[in-house]
Amino acid sequence: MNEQEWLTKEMRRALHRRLAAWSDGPGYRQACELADSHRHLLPRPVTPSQLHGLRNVVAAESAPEQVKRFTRHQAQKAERRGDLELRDYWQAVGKALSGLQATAEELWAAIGGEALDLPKKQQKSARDEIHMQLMRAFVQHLVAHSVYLKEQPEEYA
Amino acid sequence: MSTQKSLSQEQQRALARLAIKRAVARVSDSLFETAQGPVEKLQQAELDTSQIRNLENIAYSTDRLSDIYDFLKKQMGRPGRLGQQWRHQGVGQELLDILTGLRKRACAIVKGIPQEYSQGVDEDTERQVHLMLCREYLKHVAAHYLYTGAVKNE
Repeated sequence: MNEQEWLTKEMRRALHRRLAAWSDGPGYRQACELADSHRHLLPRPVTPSQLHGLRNVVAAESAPEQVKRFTRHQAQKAERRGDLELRDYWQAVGKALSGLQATAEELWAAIGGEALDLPKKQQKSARDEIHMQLMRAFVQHLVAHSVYLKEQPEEYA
Repeated sequence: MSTQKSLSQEQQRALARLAIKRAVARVSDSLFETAQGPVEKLQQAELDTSQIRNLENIAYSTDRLSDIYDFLKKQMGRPGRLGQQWRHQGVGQELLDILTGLRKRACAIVKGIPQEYSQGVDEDTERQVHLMLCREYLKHVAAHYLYTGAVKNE
């Protein structure tokens, strides 16, 4: 069952609008800043295929923990190879994505989710679903800005 | 009793929507001419018509400005000929800058909504007006592009 089916029509509409506003505002800015601050790692060692791998994971997974596991795994792989800059990059991506949990909680509260008479487990599922949507938007911006940066002359940085 | 007090929230929303629609139409007319510059570069880049149609379709099917920005960035970042075409004389960047710059026009439109319709405006209104302006601008770009392409081929 889609978690959003527990919401009223009005709450779903409010959530949709708030997600769009977040995606166009803070989400877009934060993702671009993250890519900008690691520009020197593009297109290597942060390759387009790694970025597309991340995009595929957030598109396919339904639990934020799976995405965190993926970024942790990428960081560990980089560390084993001795590439500490790449490790730091994946740690920064993981931290940014984990940090979206707080935004998911805020959105859930803003649409009145806490007032719903739902069991704790379902409340968590609903918040996780919002967290996943935030992650998808963030990663879309991160990937787009990263592939754009790798083709831009330095003066655009 | 003042006019402001006699207007219900629903009436204020409807009147604000109408004021926005009129203001967007006025700005759209002024954007018509500015679309010609990038279109000349897009023509020189020999971009496939489908690319311009895709850009316009995204603008009209999404409710997020960032989807439009991300599309342009991804196209500019593509390897090979398609990426080169989008980067030709900085045309992709120019479009991105024009679209993001429309925020100022959106802000002015929202500020210009009469005070008596204030309940028809919320914190997301400016973003939505910005999206409307981006759609208008890209509509002009697509129309110019298709028209000038057809004229050249005659």
